[in-house]
Amino acid sequence: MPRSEKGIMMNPLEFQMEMSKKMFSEWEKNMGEYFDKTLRDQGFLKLVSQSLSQSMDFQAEIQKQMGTVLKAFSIPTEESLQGLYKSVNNLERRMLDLEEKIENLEETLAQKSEKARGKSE
Amino acid sequence: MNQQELSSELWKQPKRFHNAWKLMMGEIQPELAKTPFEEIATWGKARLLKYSPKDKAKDSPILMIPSIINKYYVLDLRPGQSYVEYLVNQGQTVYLLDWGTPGPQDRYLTLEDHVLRFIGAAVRTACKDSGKAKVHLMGYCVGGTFAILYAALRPQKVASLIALTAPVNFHDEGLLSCWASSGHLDIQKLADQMGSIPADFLQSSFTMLMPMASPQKYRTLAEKLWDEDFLDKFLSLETWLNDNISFPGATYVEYIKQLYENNELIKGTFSIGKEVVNLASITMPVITVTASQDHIVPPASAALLHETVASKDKQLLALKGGHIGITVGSRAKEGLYAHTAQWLEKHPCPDQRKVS
Repeated sequence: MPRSEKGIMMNPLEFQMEMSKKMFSEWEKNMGEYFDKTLRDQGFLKLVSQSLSQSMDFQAEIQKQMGTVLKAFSIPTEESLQGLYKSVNNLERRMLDLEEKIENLEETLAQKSEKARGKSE
Repeated sequence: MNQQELSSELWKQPKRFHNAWKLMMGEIQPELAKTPFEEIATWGKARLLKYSPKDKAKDSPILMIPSIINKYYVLDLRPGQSYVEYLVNQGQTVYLLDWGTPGPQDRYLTLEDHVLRFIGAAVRTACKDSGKAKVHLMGYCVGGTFAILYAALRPQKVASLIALTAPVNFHDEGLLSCWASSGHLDIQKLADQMGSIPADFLQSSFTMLMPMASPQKYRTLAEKLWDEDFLDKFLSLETWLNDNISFPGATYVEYIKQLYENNELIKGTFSIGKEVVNLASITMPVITVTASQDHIVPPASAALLHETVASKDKQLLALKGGHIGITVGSRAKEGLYAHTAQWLEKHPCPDQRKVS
């Protein structure tokens, strides 16, 4: 009969299950170490970055060509949309900044009126 | 395996098949974000949620800032496994800033927009709504860094700061730091072309941090498939993990270049708009929470806040568990939730001056 690490007798089925668990854990550990090593490798990172950068260039070129076609048909392009996005963002910014200024003013006024009331009393 | 173990294993087998079938048919749907709330303000895609206790609220309202990468409901995952629900049951009013799902129009939103405008507006609204001059600020992960930045720039509005696994030192032994500081990837080009950084791109980066976590996860699932409670917890967390949102391009560039590549926050050269962020200007009470097995924000990266702030009343809470485990894991209630509730009890917020 096969025995466990502690010397206890195990039935063959249990032994097989125990062995496969051990093998799986070992495989997981090795693969984990391998991935960590690869993902920290500067050569690998450079390669991934280059391919990502090239796919971005390709996408940019397609967008450029598409923009030319859309312009010919007087349809708003990506560029026109970007302009709109920027304007909306700026408007939102100004609104939030104004809101903050108003609230700060309200607070200062409240403090001043409280001080004035304190003096008059 | 003795006879008892064998019979228990045999009993579990049909349950495993039954649950696997239900899972495949989509019959099991987790209950997510069930704590009742009220939406009290919106700014662009962001909205401020208010969770009120049933009885009279205590004097320590807290504003939670979740990470910008995932959905807010990790802080209110499921009944019985929710940071928000726990604090509300303790009588605290909880405000939560939901960043929403950024679309293409949000690509130009900057760090200044997120930190000073959105968090700023959320703090002011929470103060006004609760009648307090200051509120407690809790930030999780990237949201934690944002909360730290806000607390450093507007300390007068923050009663206390709870930085939950928030990266502060970006040059650490973690993989994210290794990728960002390698300098191979042109982040600006990526943001220019993609606009907002897609959720899939971010998700695959996080999967690559621990590639072997997936087989381990599914092995555990296969083993515990018979247990319906486990299955519900598993599905809730998986649904949240796969429910990622895109990262506004302009913010992503600032975050990666200034913080990850140049580590400017620690060097004291980081600025938002025209204001330089000085961590030493954080003088309010602070809890810095770290997770011992955090593979996203290594404990040392988050713990540095504790040494940098000028607060006299500060604590370093080193919890056992992973980045997400400390917030929704089985020990979260006794660890993070209970500690926060005690902290809030001890630090009541001052009342606002009444405007006449």
